[in-house]
Amino acid sequence: MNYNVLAYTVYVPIVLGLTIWVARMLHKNTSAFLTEIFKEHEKVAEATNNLLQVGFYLLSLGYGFVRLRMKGKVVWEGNNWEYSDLESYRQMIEELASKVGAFSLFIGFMLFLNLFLMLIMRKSNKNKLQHQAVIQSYVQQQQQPRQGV
Amino acid sequence: MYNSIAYIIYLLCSLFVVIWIGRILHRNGKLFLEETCPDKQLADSTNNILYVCYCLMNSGFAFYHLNSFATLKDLNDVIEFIATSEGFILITLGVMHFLNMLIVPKIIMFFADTSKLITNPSDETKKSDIKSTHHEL
Repeated sequence: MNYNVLAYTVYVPIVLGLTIWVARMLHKNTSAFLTEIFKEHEKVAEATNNLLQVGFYLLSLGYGFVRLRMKGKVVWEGNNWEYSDLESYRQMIEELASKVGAFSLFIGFMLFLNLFLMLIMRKSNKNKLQHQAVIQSYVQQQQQPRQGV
Repeated sequence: MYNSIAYIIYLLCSLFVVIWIGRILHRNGKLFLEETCPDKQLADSTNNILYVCYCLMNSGFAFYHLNSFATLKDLNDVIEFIATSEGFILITLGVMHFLNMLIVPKIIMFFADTSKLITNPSDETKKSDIKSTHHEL
């Protein structure tokens, strides 16, 4: 009875399922936010949404897979660390719980990061629109006296 | 025997990541950079360069990381090997991706040619309307 393989077959679907579900939820909700930011360019909103989604997938799947390895006992023997596999159901459940918990904490952190990025983009877009308005008014001022004559 | 299986699966996964995600980033990055910097030539060329950089780094990581592993004795070890190495690649790519999204537009704006800067396509049409009325007068 290989407890390690059993734990991995439980852990990997949880990781994949959680990331895909949260990514779809993010996609739906950020599209509304982004179409409000980029009012005239819908394709750009879709493009940034896809970029953010890909970034989310990369980071969360990366963390989930890096933290996959489960060990039972870690002992310093001779000159090395000696790892042992999981040896009972109890150890398996404990390790699984800690891994899944750490992963969901990381996904929560990623959601905060996405919100933060949205706010940054909104602010930079507002600045850009202000600059454009200033330039536009300057251009119109230059054109007006010629029309009068 | 387990080693070769593990290597094959690992290389297939990383190749998939390179090709598919590279295409998505290339397509969407074009629109994203055109929005943040209206100088379209510059945005297009930086997008292409970033795509090539992404492919090179990704495949480089994948092949380089293949070298550093002991013999695998069990299905257990195979799963661990594939997962940890793929995860390392994915995390570094994700961090680079977000840093690029934040920093590259600012760098482009620093180097963009201000004479080529068009504020908005709608502004172009407004300028042409003003000119047409001027000629009528």
